[in-house]
Amino acid sequence: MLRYIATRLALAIPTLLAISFLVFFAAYLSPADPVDIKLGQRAAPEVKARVRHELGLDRPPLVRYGDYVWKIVRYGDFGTSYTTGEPVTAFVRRSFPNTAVLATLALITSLVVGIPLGIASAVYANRLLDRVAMGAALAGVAIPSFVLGPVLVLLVAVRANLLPVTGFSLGDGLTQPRFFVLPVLVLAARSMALIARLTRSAMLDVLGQDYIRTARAKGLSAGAVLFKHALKNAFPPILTVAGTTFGYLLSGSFVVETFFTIPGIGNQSIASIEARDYPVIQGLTLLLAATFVLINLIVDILYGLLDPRARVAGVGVSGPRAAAGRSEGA
Amino acid sequence: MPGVLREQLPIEPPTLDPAMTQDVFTGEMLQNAYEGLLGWNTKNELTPRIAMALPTLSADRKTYTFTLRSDAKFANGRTITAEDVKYSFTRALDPKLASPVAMSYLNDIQGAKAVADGKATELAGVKVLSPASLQITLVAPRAYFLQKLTYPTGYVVPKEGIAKGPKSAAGALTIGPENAAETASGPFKITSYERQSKVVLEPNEHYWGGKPKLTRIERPIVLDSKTAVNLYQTGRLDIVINLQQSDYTSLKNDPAFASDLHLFTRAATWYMAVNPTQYKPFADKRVRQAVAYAVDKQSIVKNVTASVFLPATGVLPPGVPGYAPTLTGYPYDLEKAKKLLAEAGYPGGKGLPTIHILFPEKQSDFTRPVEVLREQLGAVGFPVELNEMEHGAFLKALHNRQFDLAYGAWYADYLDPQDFLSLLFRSDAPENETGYSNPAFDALCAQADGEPDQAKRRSLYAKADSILVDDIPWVPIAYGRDVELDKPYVSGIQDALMSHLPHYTTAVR
Repeated sequence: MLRYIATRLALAIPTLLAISFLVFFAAYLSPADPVDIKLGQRAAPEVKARVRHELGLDRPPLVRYGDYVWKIVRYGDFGTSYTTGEPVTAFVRRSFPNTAVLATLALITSLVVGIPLGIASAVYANRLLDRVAMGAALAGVAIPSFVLGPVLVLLVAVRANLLPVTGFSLGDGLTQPRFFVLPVLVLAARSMALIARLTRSAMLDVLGQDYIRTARAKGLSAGAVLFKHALKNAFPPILTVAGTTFGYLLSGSFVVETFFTIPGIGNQSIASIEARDYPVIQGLTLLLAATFVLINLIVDILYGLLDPRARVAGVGVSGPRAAAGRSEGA
Repeated sequence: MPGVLREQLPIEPPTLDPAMTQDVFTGEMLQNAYEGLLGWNTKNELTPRIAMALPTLSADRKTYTFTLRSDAKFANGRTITAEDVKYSFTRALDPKLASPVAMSYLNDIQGAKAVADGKATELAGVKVLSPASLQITLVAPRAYFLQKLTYPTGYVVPKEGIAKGPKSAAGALTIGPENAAETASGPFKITSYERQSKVVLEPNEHYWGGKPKLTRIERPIVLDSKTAVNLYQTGRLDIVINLQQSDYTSLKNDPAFASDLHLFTRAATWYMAVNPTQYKPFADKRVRQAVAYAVDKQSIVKNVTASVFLPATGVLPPGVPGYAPTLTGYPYDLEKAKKLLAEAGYPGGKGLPTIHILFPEKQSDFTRPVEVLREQLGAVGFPVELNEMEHGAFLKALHNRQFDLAYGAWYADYLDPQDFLSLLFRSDAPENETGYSNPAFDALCAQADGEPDQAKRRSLYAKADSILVDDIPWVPIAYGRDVELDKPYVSGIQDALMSHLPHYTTAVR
């Protein structure tokens, strides 16, 4: 098991390096000049040259990249913002907790709603409950959050005035649950639907197996068959999807955070992109990528614990995980 | 809530430091917290703020003498002195602060360049005569200089308050949430700024002009204008600014909003720049005229801007001295356009290389008109393609004259025709984007820029504007207006062409 974890960890390093390379050079190749951003078009050439030198922007790009990676590895220094001069880590400390709270609540909602719905659909396969639930799930997957958000807000918040228009940033504090309802619902809609659909198909797969028939034949109660035998075996792919979904929830909240003015990573990224504050954009992108890699790593480890075959296979996990990966496709 | 004004801030403010700010939203917020020697009134006239009266001007028209109000105080209770004015200007120019705008507004002061270049630490052109009076000496007579002082780079801040501030990206002391309140010199002070959340302003109890009617201004940071409208509708915002024309059209037809919608005229011209330095056929005046005749401004204004904007006839917008209502420009005339193009040797556009219209991305106020411009130019035979660009890259391309046609907007930095004409079109102007050069125009500007007699100045600039319209470095398209939602219980908002005035008289019932 340790060797398995070590292999996964070792593989994460080149992934992160590749991401940092892409992130750095995407910013480098963008047409906007950081010195222009800081000083405006009208600044004198001498001042521009001086600031360019002070920022180290007159060095070759590969040297700058090396320096960037070295400072992160050695000092945890992601650079400073072009606009405010603060370290990028300050932006992360400020906005990541909000995003994490939002994503965690959305994940819990997806699991709490999605799994029972999927089980019920599998048990009542092709009956009315299944049809309605899976129809709703299809809509959940299909409707993007930038449509669902405004529609829900218009109906629930503006017309009916049942819930607030925005999330938890406008001074009303984290203590009032009603501020979370709409953003969490909108963010969770897609993953809720995905998990429900996946649970249903995994359960149907398992319920058709011989050992389930055996369990029933030896007289086990329907509940015991369902939860002890069927769900346990259907669980690994669900776990995998839950993991990747969490990564997706953490990174996919740009629309939701902006629309509900939640001061998280997505909202900050948009503001930084508008201000062309490259160090912050780079830092946040790297952070999201690292989070994604970390969550995948944890999922793989848990997967290895649940399914001994994965440990033997080592790296290339196939079967349900690969299938789950395809159905996620975020 | 009575006394509390809630108005969204459509961006994350890049700075709280008036010496650093360059965007309109932050500038409009900061003018509530800081004040300089001069400001505006609702008639768009210069009015004294920290200065007791408008300054006197020396015979050589280079030296202004100011007397300060004796009751002007910072929010920390200390009286504002001439030394503070000198300190504030010098600080804004400090190369360590690396202000993107200081030299644009303070460059006419003697010695400003030396300070900005790091060759001097003393601003030679500002002389403190006594604690309450000072002299500002310019490099040459500049009739528009006082207008420039109204920009935030001219706001006054206390040295002891700056000392408690955070360091800017370039290493100088600046203003952040920790020292914003004690550095204030305007009717309000910024008492809190939570990033990604909101800015709060409260009255500055030491302000010379007395207590404002508001007890608090809240500026929640809301980047999405749809969210702002939703908050407005559910009673959580009192004012929504920065609405796009596309928002205006739908709000106007909604009885819940129609009566709350307000239009504010701005000193702004939306234009299509014509660049013969890159697109050679434009060097032939007949081809430029064909472009001008092909553009139907009335139709763009009516159908694309929902008549939020007004059709433009010259470079100078109404309200800016020198604007001439009699100027008509080239009217829409398809036949004339076709005829001129044929005369220039390109009948029906035959033989013309593709023309790219450059414009900044993602903002519907830019993207929608250019679609129509492509149609209108296409009708004459111009082979037009659209080229959408990231905003910074767009500005850079303009600056480097790398475009054929460009759709842009020029909002006045200060209310003076020099800011439109000399700054953008003189042969030697750094911001001359089209390579325009006309000795007659240059001479008029040179004369007008230093002319002390305002009436004479106006007529010189009006003449210069008519030369521009005839030569077509720009096809002026529309004059800008801002769209805003204001709740009926908000009263006393004062507006000038540059922006709203600080909320001295605003009240919320």
